[in-house]
Amino acid sequence: MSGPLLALETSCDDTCAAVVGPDGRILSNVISSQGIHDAYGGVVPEIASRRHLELVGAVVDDALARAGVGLDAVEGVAVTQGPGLAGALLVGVSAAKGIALSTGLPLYGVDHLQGHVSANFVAPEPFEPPFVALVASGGHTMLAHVRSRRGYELLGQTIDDAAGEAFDKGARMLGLGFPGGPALEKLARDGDPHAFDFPVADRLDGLEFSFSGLKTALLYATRDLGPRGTADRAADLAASYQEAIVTALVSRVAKAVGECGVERVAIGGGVAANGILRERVAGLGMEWHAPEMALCTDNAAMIGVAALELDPLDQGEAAGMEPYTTSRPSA
Amino acid sequence: MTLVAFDTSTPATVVAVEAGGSVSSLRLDPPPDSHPAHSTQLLGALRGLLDDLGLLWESVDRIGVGVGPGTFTGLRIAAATAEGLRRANAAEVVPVGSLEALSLPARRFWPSRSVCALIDARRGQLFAAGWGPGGDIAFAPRVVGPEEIEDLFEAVPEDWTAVGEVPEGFEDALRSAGVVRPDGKEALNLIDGAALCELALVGGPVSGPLLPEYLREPDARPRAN
Ligand SMILES: [Zn+2]
Repeated sequence: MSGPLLALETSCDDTCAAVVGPDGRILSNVISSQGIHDAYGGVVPEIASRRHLELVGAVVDDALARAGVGLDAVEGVAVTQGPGLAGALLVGVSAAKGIALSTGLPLYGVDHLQGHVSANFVAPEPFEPPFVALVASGGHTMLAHVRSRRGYELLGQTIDDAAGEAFDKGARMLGLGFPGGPALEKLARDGDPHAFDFPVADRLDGLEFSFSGLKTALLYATRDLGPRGTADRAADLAASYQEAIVTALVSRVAKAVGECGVERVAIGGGVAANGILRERVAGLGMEWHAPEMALCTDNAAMIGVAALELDPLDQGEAAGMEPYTTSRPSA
Repeated sequence: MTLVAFDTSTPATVVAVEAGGSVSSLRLDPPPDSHPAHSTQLLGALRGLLDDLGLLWESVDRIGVGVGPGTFTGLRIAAATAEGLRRANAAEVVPVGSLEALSLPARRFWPSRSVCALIDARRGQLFAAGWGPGGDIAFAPRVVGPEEIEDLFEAVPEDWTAVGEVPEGFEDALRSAGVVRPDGKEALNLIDGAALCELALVGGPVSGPLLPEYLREPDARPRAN
């Protein structure tokens, strides 16, 4: 490929489009965060899908304009095929197919989690495999062994809530807003991370994650403390809760590093913004990398960079392409 | 003028191309007990029609899109596909009411009758709109349950014929409201490609995003956890 790729990502509540160069450089990366879900304390799928439809055209136009290229200069169209919310994915996939199939441009169906991994490959300073990747956000928690730019081996994922979801739910129990991660982290600064002994699901086999027990433990703690006691000790609760999430994540990263024999770590997803998580990953004493924040949270540039390593669908496959909501169906 | 039109508001994927004054159209119904396959069929079906006529996408001047009401998934596929197509081609996009398209052949066939178009809205409800004998709208697209049928037609006393799909639970209500079905003319119950083209030709293009006529508020509950 010698020209740029247009990429779309609409798997959750951010409407995203980007243009990436064939060398993996980002020419534009437009993210329209819907924000309207905050009042509901979570993403409402039907609202997200409708909003994507209102925004997708303008976001694509904006991405092309900021990159200074027209569609005639684009050499391919990449889109998140899954996993994600069905109606939300459908907007990006349908729009991408409309562009690609009416122009004869190659179409690339990209796995969203591969996108998060590929965010590390963005030029000019890519973090090259091999490494162990932790992707933790409101929608997913995944540990992967990344041996090459094409694909990854799944080492473990959450069996219930995602790490970012655990932050959101904990924040809600402590009376903080949505999304809860940043608010909870801020509150935790004044608290003692060892004041409460919250579970980190260390009895789980292998490299899987579980955060539902932690959520229940916080609920019981607030119940025992009562409204007044909870308010008095909110900072301690937040710090201990955060400590449990971060320990659960980092202990499994350390274990994965040992099992894979790869002393390099990459973290991504919205939870990678957490300062304690970064400190603790740095504390492992090995080479580690986190893409800049705009590439950690959902974005289309990572989808474009992932597509650079893929073979395009032929026109028949492209016409028949449809989103998948859970994991990628095996070929 | 070369015009492409499509509608995916009902289970059928309906596509049409009008070029040089004649219309080619295709309707793909899902097999019994299968989900609609709009996402995988729509663009391939359009390409097939264009290929048969020796036309390229770049020669398309206008895209008519059925904007519902209908299934939310179908409406999203149609509108998002159109958003992609209009960016890649110089074509303008015209929204077409799916109920209006559904009603048009029947209104032509029975110019002296009133015609009501119905699309299954699921959850025991219908999307409905009505037109009087002169072609004026008698009632605008809305969501109705069986218990509202009588009032709806009582308010506009005419000889009503209802086209489209009548889900279970509505037959009796329609019959007692004096609404007849187009017996022997079953094709009038289907959205027709030529009707889509006709309405797209006279409709006005949109400059902003093409938005479906959902007629129903989203269920504002966050993703279940
Ligand atoms: Zn994500």
